[in-house]
Amino acid sequence: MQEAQILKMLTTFDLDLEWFKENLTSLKENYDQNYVAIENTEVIVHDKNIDNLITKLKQLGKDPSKVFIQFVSKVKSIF
Amino acid sequence: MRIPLILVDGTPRVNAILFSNRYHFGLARITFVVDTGSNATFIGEEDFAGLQISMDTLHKEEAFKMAGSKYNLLLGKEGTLLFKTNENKTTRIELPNIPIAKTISKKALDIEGIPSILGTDFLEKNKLTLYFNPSKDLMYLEKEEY
Repeated sequence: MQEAQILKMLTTFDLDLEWFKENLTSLKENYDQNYVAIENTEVIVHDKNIDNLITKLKQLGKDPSKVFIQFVSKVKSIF
Repeated sequence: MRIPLILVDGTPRVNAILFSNRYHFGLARITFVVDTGSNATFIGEEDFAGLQISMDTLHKEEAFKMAGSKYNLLLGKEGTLLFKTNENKTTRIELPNIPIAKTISKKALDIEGIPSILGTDFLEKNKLTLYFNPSKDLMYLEKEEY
């Protein structure tokens, strides 16, 4: 594994997480009760079912293990 | 050495890369919630779905309850977690078994699965301290230097 490759991936992942944070309100409005897949600060796929979402990602030629997948709901999660 | 956290919807989160020679996913993204209310660390269902790991390679450890739903804690083969530090370097933490939480039953269909969690067991074992000051948007995990 190359250190530079790892750092680049982690930096990209952080940008996607920051974008998710900043856009959470609008995401909840547009994708309530959906799983969203975010790559490069963009929602590329969404679906109410996680398995369908994975299938859609593969159809787009995306590796699901490299994409930020998050369930979006207007109902607040409390752990 | 510090691992910066990002506050999202009131919860401190951190991105990691999971690597394992024993699985085909190569370098996989995992987004953990740092949860000092949990004494267990595991990969949640959203991240697990992306890994595409066969259930046949996992063995059941125990059942547990969280937020009113029941889950199985499953253990996979060994792996490594990689985090980015405040010095723009990577730090690695070995996992003897990759822990995964899978839903047994949910209270309601419209409730999401639990996210990936870094619990107190992970902090204790890896000598990590959580600094959390949300009012100043300052939060990180700090590892003891040797």
